[in-house]
Amino acid sequence: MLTLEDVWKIYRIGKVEVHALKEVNFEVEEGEFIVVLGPSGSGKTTLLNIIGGIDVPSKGKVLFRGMDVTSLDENGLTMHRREHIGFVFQFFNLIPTLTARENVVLASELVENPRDVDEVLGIVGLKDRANHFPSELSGGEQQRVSIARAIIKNPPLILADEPTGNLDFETGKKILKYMREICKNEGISFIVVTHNSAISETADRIVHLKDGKIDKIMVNEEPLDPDKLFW
Amino acid sequence: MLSRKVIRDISTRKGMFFGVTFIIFLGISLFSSFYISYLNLSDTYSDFYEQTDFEDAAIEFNYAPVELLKEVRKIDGVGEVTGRLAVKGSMKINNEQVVLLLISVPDGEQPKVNKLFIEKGEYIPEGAYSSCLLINEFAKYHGIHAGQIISPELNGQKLQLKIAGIVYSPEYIWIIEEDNFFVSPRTMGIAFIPYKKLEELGYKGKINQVHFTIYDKDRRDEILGKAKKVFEPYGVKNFYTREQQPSNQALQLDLAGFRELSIMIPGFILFISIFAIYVLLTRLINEQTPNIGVLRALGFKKNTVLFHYLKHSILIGFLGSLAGVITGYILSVLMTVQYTGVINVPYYVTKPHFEILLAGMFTGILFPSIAGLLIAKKAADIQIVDALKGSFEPQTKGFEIDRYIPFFKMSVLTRLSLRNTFRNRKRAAYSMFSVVAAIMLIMNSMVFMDAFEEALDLQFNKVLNYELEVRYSSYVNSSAIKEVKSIQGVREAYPLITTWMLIESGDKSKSVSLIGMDNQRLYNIYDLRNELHMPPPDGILLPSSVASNLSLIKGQKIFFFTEKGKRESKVYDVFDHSLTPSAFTSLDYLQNLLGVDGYNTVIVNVNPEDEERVQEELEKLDGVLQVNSKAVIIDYINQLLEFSYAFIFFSLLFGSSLGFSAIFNTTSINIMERRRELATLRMLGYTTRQMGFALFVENMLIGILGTVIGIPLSYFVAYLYLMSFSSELFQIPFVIYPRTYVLSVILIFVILAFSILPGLRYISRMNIEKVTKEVIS
Ligand SMILES: Nc1ncnc2c1ncn2[C@@H]1O[C@H](COP(=O)(O)OP(=O)(O)O)[C@@H](O)[C@H]1O
Ligand SMILES: [Mg+2]
Repeated sequence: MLTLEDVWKIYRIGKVEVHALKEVNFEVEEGEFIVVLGPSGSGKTTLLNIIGGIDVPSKGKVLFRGMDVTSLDENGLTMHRREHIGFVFQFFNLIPTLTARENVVLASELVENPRDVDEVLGIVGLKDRANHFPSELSGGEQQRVSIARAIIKNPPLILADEPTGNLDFETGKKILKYMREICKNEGISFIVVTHNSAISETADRIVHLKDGKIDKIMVNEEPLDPDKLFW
Repeated sequence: MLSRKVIRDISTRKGMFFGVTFIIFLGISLFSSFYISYLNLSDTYSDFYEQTDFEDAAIEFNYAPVELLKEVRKIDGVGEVTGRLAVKGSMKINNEQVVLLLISVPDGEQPKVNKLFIEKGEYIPEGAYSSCLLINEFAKYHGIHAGQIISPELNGQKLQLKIAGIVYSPEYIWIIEEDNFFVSPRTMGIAFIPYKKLEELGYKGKINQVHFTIYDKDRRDEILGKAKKVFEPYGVKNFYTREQQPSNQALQLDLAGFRELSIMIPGFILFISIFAIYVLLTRLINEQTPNIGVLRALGFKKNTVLFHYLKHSILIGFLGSLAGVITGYILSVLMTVQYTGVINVPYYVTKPHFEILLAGMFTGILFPSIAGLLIAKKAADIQIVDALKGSFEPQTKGFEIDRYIPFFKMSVLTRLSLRNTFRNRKRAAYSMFSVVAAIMLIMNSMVFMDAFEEALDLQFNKVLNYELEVRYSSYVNSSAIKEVKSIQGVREAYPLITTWMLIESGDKSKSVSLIGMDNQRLYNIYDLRNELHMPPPDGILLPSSVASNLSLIKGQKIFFFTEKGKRESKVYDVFDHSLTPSAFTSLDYLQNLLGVDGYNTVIVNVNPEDEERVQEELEKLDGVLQVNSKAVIIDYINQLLEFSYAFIFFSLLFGSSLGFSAIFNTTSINIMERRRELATLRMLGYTTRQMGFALFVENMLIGILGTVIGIPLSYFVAYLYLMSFSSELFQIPFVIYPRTYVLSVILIFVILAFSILPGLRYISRMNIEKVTKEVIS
């Protein structure tokens, strides 16, 4: 569904050039659960942002179901995000003045056929906390709200940047389990970015990123149930 | 859901949003109340003028045959014409001698021009020659009613007049006589009596005034000139068009002031509101930058984000101006009622003036929207990638002002607060601007008071050094002054000639009050700069407003119209007069010019404890028309000024609340923005008292800088402001008393201290855990 062809990202700060991404090529299949693994500063966030259409590559192409994302204008990118992409962030990024339920509804109002709010909140196990404000929720609960917010639009692809980075081990495992289940049950593709190699064991494929370059891509024949993870 | 976010955003920052809304409210309520009052008053006058067929022009002259009216009627363009006699008599009320101006009216019918509005009673019935109509203000002041009999004296004859009715006149909405603004009903009244009655008292077949309407308005000056020619052989004393008619001129000046204020002050306030909203929204957007990133990442369009943040300011504008126009309308009615109660109109017109209310709403929404648009555009343009990382404004290090203050050993906390003051330069500028604005409003209100006080002090303590002024009904000789001096309690007495004459230069002419005096023992000619002028031995010392009106300069030739014909004179010098524009010369010179002997006025200095008795004795002297007491005039002026004091009080209140809401706003924003920092400080173990002190230091610093900039600026603005109030009728001296500086500064610092109270409360109640969580997550 997603193809990256020779994607480069170069930042210029004064005279210094930072090659955040170099010659990145890979594909994502429908319903696949991919983990992008790499140390801090290896270009993971940059890669995710380019796929999500909130940043543009310096060179190369991103094709989404055959559509050239890199050729889209501002409005086209907005529509692309609206219809195809769900985001999950490390710092949850919920709107503090809206309740959990309202944060989710906020996203649903953007698309024509959103999923049912209660159903989605049910999937992440938050039906009974729906009317709480983010400040009244734990970190794990907030991240579940943000997953609900991502899936209510019914997008084919969800991008998660260090979704467990700000959570403790047990909570992080739970979040991963939710994502894995959604991937399996709903057929939504996931690209999860992390620097935690333990997490990669739950993936269908693992993309190793190093200094902005793809080091290797490994296929996981038998992905591990997140419950059995340990780090 | 986004709209709900607008409401939540606002309700979580109630104080700040309320502050900004309040600023809008102030601006719009002031604008609509003043502007509608202006329109109401203007409508009231027009309506009254129309109902009473108010004159387009008038000429006053020495007694001339009534037949001359035919000549006036013949002039092309002249409408209705009324000729009449106006003579000053006197009358005793409660043992006090008052002047009664007797004006003739036609028998059994209203005059064609300047009809009278009958408040009580009826118009003089046909043939009731011993009846009169009394002007309302005078009747009210002395408790005289219709049906009573008054007995004025004129040319030595006592009259018995029955009051048929109490009236209002369009010529005397504001009673001004011979350029004297402060004509108290206590000492002067106006009565209208049948021409037949007045004529009998030595004016058979004569008139001394003509009032007429002109239907060809474009040729008004030309027509007035032609009419003037008719009476020139009889000595024209004064002439004017409707615009120059004394009462109307004063009213129009006042109206212009109302209109100016209704635009100036609110405009100023609304200008401040732009800054306030700009700051508020910048803060909001700064804080919400990650949210904006999320919204955009979710797929919200740029314009949706733009409009979302615009909604905040539109809502503020809408609420503020809605409350503003409602309050403004109510205030406008109150102001109209109050104001028309002070002047002499029988009724008032109040209309809602929806166009003004709409304009108010529109302006009240437009101003915040401008600020909102500027900042919302910024928000919408943020790069999503940057937004998700945090603040969209590059974190500036701040100006390390503490490095430039090497003399003190400062704690890091103090250093921090000093740096914080300038962390965000735009905001620091805004806070200072608020202080400056508040100082300007506060000082300008007080400068008004200073100017009044200075003008009154100049007039009544420096210029006029006498207590009593004795006016004779004709010229008297030196025995009169001996008579006055012989009264026990009189310390000094000096003669004056006071007259009212037409000056001509080239094709221009103007009436002026002219005073001739011997010495300056009891009457000093001080100008606005406190410089003393001497009564010139020859020529006339001319007030600057008259001089500029006639385009005259020092040394130029002028002509006077006296009862004995046209006389030549010259401008000795020009000076800046204060309250009343009188011209001066020496007694000798004026006697020669007028061709008279003696004098018509004596000014008297008395022992204070004897004043009342001396006044009574003076009134009994032969030939005395009236004895004026300076104390009475001062009393009356103070009474008139009460209205102005109320106005000044309100502008002080507005200035203070504006300062408060503006400063409160920035302080709260500063604190909200630094929650993380404050939480960290608290975790480190700083006490709330220490942090409160740091906050205090910051605000005082802003206050001091704002004051330093604000005071010279206020001085300048006050100067312009007062100059704009000066007119042909009076000039106000420009002074700012030290007390004004002191009070303004104290007030500003009190406001500053109050406006950080909510911040201090926040700090003392701060729940570190909650703040940290909110900030980190
Ligand atoms: N806006 C930017 N300007 C300059 N350099 C950047 C910018 N964003 C990221 N980089 C650099 O690009 C590299 C990759 O960053 P990033 O994608 O955030 O890494 P990761 O998410 O893997 O930690 C880093 O060296 C980072 O410093
Ligand atoms: Mg990253």
